[in-house]
Amino acid sequence: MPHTLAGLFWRALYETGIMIGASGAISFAVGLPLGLVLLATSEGGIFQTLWLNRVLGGLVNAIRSTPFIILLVALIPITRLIVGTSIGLWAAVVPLTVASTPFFARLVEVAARGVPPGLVEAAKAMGATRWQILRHVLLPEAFSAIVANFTITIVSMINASAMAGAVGAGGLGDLAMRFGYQRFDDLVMAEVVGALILIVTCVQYAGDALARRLDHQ
Amino acid sequence: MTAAAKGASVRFAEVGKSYEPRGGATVEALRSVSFDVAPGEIFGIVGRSGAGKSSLIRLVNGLETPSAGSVSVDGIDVGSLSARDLPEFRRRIGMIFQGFNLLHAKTVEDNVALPLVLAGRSWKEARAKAGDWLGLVGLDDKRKVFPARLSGGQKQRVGIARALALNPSLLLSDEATSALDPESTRSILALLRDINRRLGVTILLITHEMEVIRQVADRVGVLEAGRLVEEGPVWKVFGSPAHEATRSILAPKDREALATSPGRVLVEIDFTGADSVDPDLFVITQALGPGCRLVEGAVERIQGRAAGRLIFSVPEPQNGEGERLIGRLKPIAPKAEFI
Repeated sequence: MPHTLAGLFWRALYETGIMIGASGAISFAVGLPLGLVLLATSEGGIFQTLWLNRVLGGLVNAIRSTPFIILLVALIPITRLIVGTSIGLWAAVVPLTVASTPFFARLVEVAARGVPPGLVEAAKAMGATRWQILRHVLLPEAFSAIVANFTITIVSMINASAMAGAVGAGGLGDLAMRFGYQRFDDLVMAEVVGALILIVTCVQYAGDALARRLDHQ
Repeated sequence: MTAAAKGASVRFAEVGKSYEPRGGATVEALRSVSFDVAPGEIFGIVGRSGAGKSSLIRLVNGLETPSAGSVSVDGIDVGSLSARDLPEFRRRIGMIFQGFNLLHAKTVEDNVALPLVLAGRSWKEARAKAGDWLGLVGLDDKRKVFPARLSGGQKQRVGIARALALNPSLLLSDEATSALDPESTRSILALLRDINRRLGVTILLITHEMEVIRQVADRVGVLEAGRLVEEGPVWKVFGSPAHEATRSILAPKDREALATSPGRVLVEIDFTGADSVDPDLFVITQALGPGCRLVEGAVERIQGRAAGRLIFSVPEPQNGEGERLIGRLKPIAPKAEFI
């Protein structure tokens, strides 16, 4: 039993890693520009377009207010369309990505809003186009805060991935549920939770260290 | 580091600027402001906070648009430029700020290189040029440092190098020394003066400190409640301020503080700088007569001329002696009066 359980543990760790890695990468790639668009199209933004801001903002809020377990089920048709199946590891990547992208986008928006308006004004004064302001001022100046916020996103994704067991994706959370909770095996439960704490701590530490390196304030 | 061919000229023609805050009454920041800045000169706008200085300087590079009238640079009406044309236009105008506005995430060198990169140069080429400008402002050794490690004065030097990066013909200075200590202020102003002389760049600056105007400006305009109430060569405006606002910015006089002993009165003598001769104290004391005492005063050099005021106390003059005393002072200083 201990041998098989260890095997299950490494497998679960691998599954969690894949889920977080894939969803995290997509969330970053999509959430980063989405967050900047949210800021730029808002009132007083460099690309002020209020209708677009309201549409995107509404969509982001709608997804963010839907509980993940509901999203998991509600997205099944879309998941099937994208990965061809509604169960298994990759089937969990879709709802995880959909849930974390708007979350991260909002955090990017907040980070970019923290760039002093004087810097944008200085860039305008030196003849920067609006795209150049985004690329050379807002993004690099907010990047350290964006990295810190991406760390938060990853941690909340690890949290949400525990529910991915509902679509048979496995992962550490699923292991804890099935063996620890449903079979009343306190030891497995404790081990898995311990492992999750360790992972989150490492992610947070690495994220903080990177953010600090990038911060020249 | 080629010198700008020629400084730009700036013309304000009946410029008005009003804001309509949401749910608030219209605020008129500028009302019918007209003045000209000649190529190569340093023109200073002085005024108290809220007088409209920030709006005024932002109209020049199109960061704001006038509600009435027009602002033109070298004959180009700034308000008529489209959002498409503005970046190109702004590359001919440098700007420095009270808060420096340096990018924290970029090194000093990259901050200065940025305008060149935005204008289409490669980073490599831009950095080489940035190095030249940093040499000019005396920060050769700080190229790879991040701005957070610099002092206020050094940050403003980087700001100046950055503003000059594209060889502008006009430099806008928005309270550039207001966040600096007196010593840094002096060195930054000296640098601006030097740049003006060496490169021929026209400088338009706004400040709330008369001291700044005194040190660098050729001509000054006094802004009060959105209106330009006075304008002229610095020595003239300082020497004989025509408007109450100028006088109060120049010397917030505290008459109460000038205590007079009983039986004595105060005489104020103003030197307007109109005469090229320096005040002759012997002649003054002779005119005031025996028993005159110096209470307070200062005479300074402004653009090489003596300007300032001296306050003396004299024994209270009897029957008509006062008028004769003032009469004796007239040839020495055009403005002399009992206060």
